[in-house]
Amino acid sequence: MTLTAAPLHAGRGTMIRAQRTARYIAGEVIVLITSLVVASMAIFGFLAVLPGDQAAILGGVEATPEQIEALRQQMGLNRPLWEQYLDWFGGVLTGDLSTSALDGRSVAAELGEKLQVTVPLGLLALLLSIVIAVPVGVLAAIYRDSAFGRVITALSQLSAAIPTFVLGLALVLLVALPTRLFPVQGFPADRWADPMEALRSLILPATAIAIGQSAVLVRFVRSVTIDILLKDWVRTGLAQGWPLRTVLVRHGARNAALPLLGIIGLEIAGILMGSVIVEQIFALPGVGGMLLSDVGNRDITSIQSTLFVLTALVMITTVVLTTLSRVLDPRVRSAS
Amino acid sequence: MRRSVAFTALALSGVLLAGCSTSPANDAAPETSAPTTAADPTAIVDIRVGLEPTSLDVTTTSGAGLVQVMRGNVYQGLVGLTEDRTIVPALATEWDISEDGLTYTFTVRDGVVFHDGTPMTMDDVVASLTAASADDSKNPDAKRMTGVVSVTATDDSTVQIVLAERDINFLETLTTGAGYIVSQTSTVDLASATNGTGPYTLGQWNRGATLSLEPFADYWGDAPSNGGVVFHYIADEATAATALRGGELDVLVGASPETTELFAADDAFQVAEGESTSWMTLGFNHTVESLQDQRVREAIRRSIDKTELIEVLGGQALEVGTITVPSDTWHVDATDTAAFDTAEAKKLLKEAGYEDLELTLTVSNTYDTIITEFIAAELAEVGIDVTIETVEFATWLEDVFTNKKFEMTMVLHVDPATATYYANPNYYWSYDNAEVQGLIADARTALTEDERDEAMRDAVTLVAEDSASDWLYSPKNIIVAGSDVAGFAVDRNSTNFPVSGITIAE
Repeated sequence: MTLTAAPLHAGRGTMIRAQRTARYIAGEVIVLITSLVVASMAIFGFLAVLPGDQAAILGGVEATPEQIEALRQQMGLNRPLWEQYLDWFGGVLTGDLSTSALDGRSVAAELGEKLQVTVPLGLLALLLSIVIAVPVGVLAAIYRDSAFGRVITALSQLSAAIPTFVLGLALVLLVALPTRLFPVQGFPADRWADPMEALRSLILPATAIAIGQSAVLVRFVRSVTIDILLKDWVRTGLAQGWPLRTVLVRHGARNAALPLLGIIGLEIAGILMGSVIVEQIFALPGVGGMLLSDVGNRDITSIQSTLFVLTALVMITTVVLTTLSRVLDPRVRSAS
Repeated sequence: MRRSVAFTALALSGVLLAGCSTSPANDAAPETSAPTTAADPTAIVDIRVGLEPTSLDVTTTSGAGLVQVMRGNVYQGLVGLTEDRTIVPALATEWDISEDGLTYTFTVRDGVVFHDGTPMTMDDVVASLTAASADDSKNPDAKRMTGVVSVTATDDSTVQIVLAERDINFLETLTTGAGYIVSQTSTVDLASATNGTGPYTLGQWNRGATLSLEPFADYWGDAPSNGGVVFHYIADEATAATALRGGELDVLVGASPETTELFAADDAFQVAEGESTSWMTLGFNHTVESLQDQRVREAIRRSIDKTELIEVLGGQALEVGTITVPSDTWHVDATDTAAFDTAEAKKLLKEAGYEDLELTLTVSNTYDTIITEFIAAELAEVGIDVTIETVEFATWLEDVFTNKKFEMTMVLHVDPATATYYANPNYYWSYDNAEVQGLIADARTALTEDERDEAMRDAVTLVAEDSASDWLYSPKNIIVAGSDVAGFAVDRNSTNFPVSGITIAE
């Protein structure tokens, strides 16, 4: 009996843990769904009160009030707001992002096209900012009491303060023009047909975003690393004669990685915002530019759907990342 | 985003020009701006223009961005328009106008093929023009076609158009979107694809970035002198200037004075100054009590020093006293109708009993705030307190243009026909002057161009004397291009930009 008791006990423990995790995930999903519904209402509501009428814009400066009214009817703009909302959100739930009122094109198709620029741009920016921030942050932690450490911290704060558009212009003037290695603006019309060409167009814009974003990350990595450096087991390891590098890479990195996941979730929103500006400076046909021109044209259906998809993307990624860190890290789990 | 230009230009660009030339010139051949050295016929011309079309459907969509790309390049009418505004044969080889000016008979060109490969038939011609002039037409230029009574094919190569009343601008109308001949059998989705008869077909529309045109192999006329054209929609002026310097662009249309300065001294680039048909117009709402008084309007005009304003803006603009430019055949210099004179302005305000006047200036955020601040400062000098209300263009369109909820506003009108709007009391200014209306009607139904120009001159002079609006300046059209580029249109190219003659030296 004693032989079987142990595995039985362990099995029940795993089951309870699995149940708890499942309950936790279910809870997160319910919160996520509620948030998305609330977000959809907020997006719809804010756009509904935005001045400027799509029909008037379509009609142009020569249309008569009757023509504009006819356009409104045709576009369904004179229906009750809740009806318009249900129509739109119902469509979104079934995967139909509806069509642009200006040219009848599918918003999903257009968004898909733009995401081919914005998603790689964002990922590249994220990757670059991690590549910059991790070593710099660790160095800043190790040398926190020396002048070198303070210089790093000051520099990272400075780069966080420089607006993205200034960084973008500086990169164009200091890198693109003299070296001619990267295009000043634009993205290949045939998208990723030539991946190297497409990547070349994204490197400078991604760097412009990454510099600002990495500054935020540096401070985070620094404080996490300092935390780790002060831990007993690090002191023990060092006392046993392990080199600092080994301690940090083998043990520290694992401990720092999980909280980093959470921060990255937050970074995604920042990167999206940075991309709106950077896409303008580098004339990239991404989601940022699309949103800007849609707002100008009052292409409300397109703005609604695009904003909702972006919101959902950010929310889902955040939930996935926090759930991941909870499932992976027993401390976070027990803390919650 | 300089949206305002698009919407004011629109496809309503009715131009008061006509005259019939039957010289066998190529459609809309552009003037050459520099001597052509050995040109590379396969070179792709990269051009930065300001505005992107919202849709490619010329039969329903308005906007300067679309007109600029499509007119004469992709779509054509029976007649075409050159840069110097001469009417030339296009899909018609010749035409005849009846004595009474009501019947137009066109001989339609043989062997014209649409981009989808189908030959153009008389059915296409008749159906296109009938649809554009129908009562329920969605064509942005349809208003100019309301005088059309019938369109009929009298034989296999002749089409006859009958008008209800004489319209000296009718041939010009046929060069706009209302006159384009589109295929009746085609199933192409015109919003995202094209099917015209012009020298270029649509290459790729990379929304938000570029639109390319490729030479059409079966074009009935002369093949383009380049291997294709790419229009770049770069909103940021600094980015565009850098791209020109970096060799990613060949031509920059509508460059700002700051950009021009960067390139002026560089031999690798050329700066061309062309004429525009645009007026930065300070519009008065004529239903506002104080602004109904001519003395108040004149006082406002006299308070703003246009010479200084133009200097502040970099100098590349003309002073105009009414809504004409020197290249208009009906141009009048009306700058002295309300010359800068603050003492006179104060006197007029006192006479009118508006010594302490408060006015709101509602303006779209697409314009430089220096202009509105300059106006407010000038008007403050004579005792008019101006509140500047900056709104987004979409809001401007709804509040000011559609609902006429404004006191003063400022907008860049880019349409040569804007002068005629002073005859429309329903236009957003609510300017209602029977004498002006009579003169504009006379101009339209004039028997000769001289007669038309005479009536137009009288009308615009009257509009100036009445201070119906104020006209702050007419910006010059600046193009910066590589010194190896030639053959681009420099005048009025925001609504008429034939690109088939542009060449790049080898």
